[in-house]
Amino acid sequence: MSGILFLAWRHAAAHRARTSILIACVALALWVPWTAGALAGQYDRTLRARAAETPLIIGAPGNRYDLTLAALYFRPSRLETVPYQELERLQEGGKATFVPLHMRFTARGNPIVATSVEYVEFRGLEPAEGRHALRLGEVALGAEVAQTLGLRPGDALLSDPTELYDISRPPALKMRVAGVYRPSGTPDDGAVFCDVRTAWVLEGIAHGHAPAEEIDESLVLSRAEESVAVSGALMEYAEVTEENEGTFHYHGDTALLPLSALLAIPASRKDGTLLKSAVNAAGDLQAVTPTSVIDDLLGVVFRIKAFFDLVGGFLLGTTALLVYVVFLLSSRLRAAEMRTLDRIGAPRRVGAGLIGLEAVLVLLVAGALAGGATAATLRWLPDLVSTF
Amino acid sequence: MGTVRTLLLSTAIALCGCSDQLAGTEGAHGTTPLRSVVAVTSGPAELLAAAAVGQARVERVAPSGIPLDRWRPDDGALDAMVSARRVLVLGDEGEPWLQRAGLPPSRTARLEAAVPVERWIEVGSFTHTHGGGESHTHGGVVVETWTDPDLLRAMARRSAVQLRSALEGGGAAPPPGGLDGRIDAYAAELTALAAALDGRALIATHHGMEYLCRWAGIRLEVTELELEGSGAPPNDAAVRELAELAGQEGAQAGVLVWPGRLDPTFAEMAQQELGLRSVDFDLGGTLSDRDTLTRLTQSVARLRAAIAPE
Amino acid sequence: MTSDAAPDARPAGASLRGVSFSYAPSAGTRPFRLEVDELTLHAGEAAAVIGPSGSGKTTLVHLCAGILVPASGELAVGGVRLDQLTDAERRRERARQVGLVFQEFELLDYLSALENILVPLRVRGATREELRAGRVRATELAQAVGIADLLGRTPAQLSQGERQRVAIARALVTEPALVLCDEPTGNLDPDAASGAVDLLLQEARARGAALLMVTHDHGLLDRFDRVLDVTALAGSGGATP
Repeated sequence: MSGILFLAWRHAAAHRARTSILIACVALALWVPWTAGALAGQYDRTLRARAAETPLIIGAPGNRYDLTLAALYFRPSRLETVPYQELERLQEGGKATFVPLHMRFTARGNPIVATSVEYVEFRGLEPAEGRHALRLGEVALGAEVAQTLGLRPGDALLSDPTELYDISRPPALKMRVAGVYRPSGTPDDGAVFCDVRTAWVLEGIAHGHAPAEEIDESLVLSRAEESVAVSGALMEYAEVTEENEGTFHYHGDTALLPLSALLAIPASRKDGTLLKSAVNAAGDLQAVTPTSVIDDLLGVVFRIKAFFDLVGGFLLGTTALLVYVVFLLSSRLRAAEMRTLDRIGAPRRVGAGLIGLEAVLVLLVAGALAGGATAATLRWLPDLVSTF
Repeated sequence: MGTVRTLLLSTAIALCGCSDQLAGTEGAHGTTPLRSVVAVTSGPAELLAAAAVGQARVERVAPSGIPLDRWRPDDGALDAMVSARRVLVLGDEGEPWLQRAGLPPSRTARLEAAVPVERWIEVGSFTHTHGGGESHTHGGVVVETWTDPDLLRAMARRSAVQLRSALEGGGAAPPPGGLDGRIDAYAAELTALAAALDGRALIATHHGMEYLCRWAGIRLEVTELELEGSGAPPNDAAVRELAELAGQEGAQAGVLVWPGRLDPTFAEMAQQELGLRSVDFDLGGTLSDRDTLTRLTQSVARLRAAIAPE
Repeated sequence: MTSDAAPDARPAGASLRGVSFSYAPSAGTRPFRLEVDELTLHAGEAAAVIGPSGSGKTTLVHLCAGILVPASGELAVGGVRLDQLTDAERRRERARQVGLVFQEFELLDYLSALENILVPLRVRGATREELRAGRVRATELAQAVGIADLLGRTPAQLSQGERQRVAIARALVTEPALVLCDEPTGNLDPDAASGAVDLLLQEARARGAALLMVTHDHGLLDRFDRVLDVTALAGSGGATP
């Protein structure tokens, strides 16, 4: 057997181009369905796991897929806002713990998730270094963000300006890194966390500047008994420091400050059901169960995947036929060689053995290549779920 | 790949439409162990927390005597508040540092939530415009809401429910009788003060007495002296205004009430030149070795004793 | 067919006794029968087989190799009765006891000269030790036939004569009891053919192998110990086309 294997190997090696093309064809035909299957499986596991860990999401009425994907995976979307007072109102009901979420901004391309300490407790995020972002202008980084940007507690991170040419929009905010979380293997690793109040500074709803009474008179345009108009040259602070922190303040009613969504963590299943029906019955907000939304979404994704499976099946079948034809022709071309081996004393059906072994070699190498390529795809492709 | 993913997802969403199929699910809540205490930073919060769950389970995280509008929690204080089962605070108006610190909303109880919007007293609001933003208003709200006995009762009822349910798993409970009785005593002292004044105005250096005066029907005249320290000259306009008020013989009670820190130099000058006897009045906002209600009641009694007989 | 040589005391490289073989007639072909009363080739003995095309020369070679199985009679190579073995056993014996040189040489184009020489060992599933020993013998044979510096080349990189020498070395590498050659010089010019036959005879004799060679080149016959004419033997039990 080892002699026949040697001959099969030498034949394959001697016809490198043909063998390489065959291996490439088979590897490609295997890689497509394998990768699609693995990715779909990974989506399925990760998406469902994250959804299953999140009992209820509450947001403004609108597309429930956008709401769910934004709240679970921080997928950028233009959600209608929920006023902060809704969180306080719901919290009064005592049916659940409500966690604020605000996700409109990014910092060097990473989503800024403005929330409260309940979020990190709920997701089990633990600081590897430093602490949670509890102060205005502070951020705590997901493990991946910290690693990618090379940031540690004490460093600074600039928010991405939303409107470069609109001077009425607040400029980028220089935020202090308070802590870095341990890797969690979830989209949280790719997020920048801060308190909701910091998001309101980013929104321009809260800001800090020199006290009105201390403003340089050259900047005062007009002054009445109870009002003063100040030149646009008075710039708001672009960084919250220990010295200027006290000057940061909100405009208008803090109860109306915007949130993107709320996570609700009911005390019991019954409380969750009652809360959801009460919220949806009232109509001014919507409450969605992430598992059912993700089930719907994956149902469609998997129907599409079934189509890709079919295409992959055809591809595989066509490749199998191609390989068969190549080896059939090869066996005819090698008839004289087989006859010689037969006459020299090779075992019966040495020809079939040689061709079969060569086919097995091709399949093994192609399989290994496809397996490696699938693993590499899964390893090096950007985390699809976190940017889903 | 990104385009393919987006396409796939968009198709999925488009095909799904917007139907709503909801099902109840209960997730695991991985909270870290919390300390079974109520963290407080102000006198009123300490008073009401102690009345609700007992002094033993009340933890001060701010030092005594520091005015609430000047305190900024250090990291230790923040950690203590975040790890407490409940934090009882006045609210963003009474404790401005709350606007800049990330306390857990589900564990933070605000006394100001018990104050109906129409009961707030506004004075001297200040509107301004700058940068590219819209005009906006600063300040103007008097924060000493707890000095109104009715509002204090409302705060006590609300906080008792919130704190007891959190620390004892219990439901609604009426405020403890002891506290109610003490509030009654405070209210009685205020009524007695109003009677002693008999329509005469109180002159004060600070708006902090607005609520208790409103409750008791006492006329209050406030001159914000903006003293910068003992011996420093006050602003002239305020002094002129004070002199005018002092000159209204029979319309005021002949006292200058200091709800904030009393300035001995100015107090002596007011006594000698304007005939106004200075009285220190502790509004009970800060943490102290005596509780808020004791300090308030004693302040009212001291003031009543100090006002000139009619 | 009968032997025309005197009795020999040397061990038999191959012997056929009372062998009868026939092809069943099929469409367009005539029936064919070959009978051999007795034929013995001793170790180191060389015999040439002559006769016109279709007279049974190749059939005789294939019978001696065990590629074809006689309908009756005894067929032994190196003392082993091939006619009594199963197909698999016969193949193993052929790979071990018989060296074959073909007219077209039939080298494998994807193997080097050295690897071609070792093919008989490979196909019989030689052990690592056997292969190592075979490699030593192959090198010696290559030296002997004058291709020592060509062992790394593939057949495409060799001349006809060089290929012939590789084929000869392949036939002898297993140290067979019998070397069978089916018109091995058919594709060579007269000088090269003469040299190749000399080389074959010399190496076979040197290794004590019996040699049976089919040839049309009558100029080479005097170099053999015996000459067997298949057609002349037809009436007395030779081939009947």
